[in-house]
Amino acid sequence: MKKRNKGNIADDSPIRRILIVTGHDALLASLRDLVNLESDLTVGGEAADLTGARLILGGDHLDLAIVDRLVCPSIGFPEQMVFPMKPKMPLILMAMDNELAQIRSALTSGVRGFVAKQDLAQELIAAIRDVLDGQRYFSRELLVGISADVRARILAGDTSDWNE
Amino acid sequence: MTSVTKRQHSELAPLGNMAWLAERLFVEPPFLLALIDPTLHYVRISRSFAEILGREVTYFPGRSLVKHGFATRHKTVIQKALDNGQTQVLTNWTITAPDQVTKTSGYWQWTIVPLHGTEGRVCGLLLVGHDIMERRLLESEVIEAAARERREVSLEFRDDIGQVLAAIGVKAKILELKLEDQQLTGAQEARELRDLATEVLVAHRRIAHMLYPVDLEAGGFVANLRRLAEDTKQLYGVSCRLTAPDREPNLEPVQAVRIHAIVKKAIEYSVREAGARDLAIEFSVNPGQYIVKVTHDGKAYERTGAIRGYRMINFHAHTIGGMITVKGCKGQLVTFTGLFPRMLGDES
Repeated sequence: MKKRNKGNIADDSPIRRILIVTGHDALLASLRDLVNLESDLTVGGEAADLTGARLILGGDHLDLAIVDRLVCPSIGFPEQMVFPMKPKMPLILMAMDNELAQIRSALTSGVRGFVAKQDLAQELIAAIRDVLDGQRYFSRELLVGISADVRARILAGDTSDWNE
Repeated sequence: MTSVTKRQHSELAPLGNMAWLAERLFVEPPFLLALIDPTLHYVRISRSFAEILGREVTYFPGRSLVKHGFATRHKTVIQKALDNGQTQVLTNWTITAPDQVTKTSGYWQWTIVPLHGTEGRVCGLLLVGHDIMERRLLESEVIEAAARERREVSLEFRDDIGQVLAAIGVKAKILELKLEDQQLTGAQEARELRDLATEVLVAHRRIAHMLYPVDLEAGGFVANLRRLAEDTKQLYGVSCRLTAPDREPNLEPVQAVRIHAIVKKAIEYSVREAGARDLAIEFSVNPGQYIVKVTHDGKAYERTGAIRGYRMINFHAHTIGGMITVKGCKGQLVTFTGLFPRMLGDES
């Protein structure tokens, strides 16, 4: 498959390895194809659940993980890291629900990006790049209607004042 | 044979004595009884009814039934029996005693029978109350079974079909990018296909949530209420406090989801329709029931039918055997109160 280069990525820039974790084969295949289209990204690992993902992370170097919310139902309840052995691993959660409580739960679990499933096609690659650059990324739709103050706190990853 | 018949007659003799019969009925009835005069004051009530109201039977004669077992809204139905001389039925009555702030979880149905005097005029009412708690629980069980089924359908719908739709959206995006890169025609169609997949996915998510909000099962009931209070503050910029026990109650998942939905609807109404700026959510556990209150400082409602979402609130309550009341007059705080029977015991 020919890789895409959108022009703003240097040819010698390192190829970033992505781990995809979802239990759904069709979604996994689609995401693999989407990521592999980009010249600076490649899928370096695939797992159907968190146990498999943790095994892969124990052995391989990966730059970022995209995790399906459905493989980690207990995320954020209570504050529980998705990958406790690699707490700094950049992580993007893809989820069907987009309530504020879900975002907060995700933040408390070390998630740096949150993409609603209906926005995957449009926003996943942008989210990967932002998170790899050390920023946070949240689906545009998630932040609609939220006050500027809360939006700023979400983007800063601040969860401290959210709980009484 | 003759002697047996005679004995039966002698044993049955008291039944001919109406005073004796009435005495037995009022002392040991398997139901609640009350005799009311045309001014809606008690003439006499059964011991079983007096016990439920927490008084001696002698306390009631001469007292108005309003505020002594019945509320003003019940009076309308009772008065109707008096006015038109026809039997009326009062369903889903719960006990309102003079010193009781809360109500018991029992549900009763009253049959209000007009008593006609010799001239044919209504000279009083006989109120007969039957315990319908069991019937309500059976109804709840049927509705709950349907809710469980909806939950399963919702999970299947959300987790499986949702994934496929997301995959279709991503595939369409890949096609769009490839066609664009190769400068082939069809990229626009691929984009439209992707947009359609997104639209279907959004609708699908909404339907799955309407079928059953599965996400509310995670995290615990009180923790979810706390989040709801916090979200209310953040999203609407209002004050919202939660008072609840620290310990998570042992609620049925279906019950937890329904009560949460009721509180959320009550909050939405309070802020959006009634313009509330200060809300208080209270959750407490009593023996036999859960009590949820949402109090706000917004506009008082004119009638419950005018409250947007009230039918849905009532539906949620009914599905778990609960009851909702709304109280509040102009210039006062408005309170939604929900009473729900405890379906599971606590592990303590």
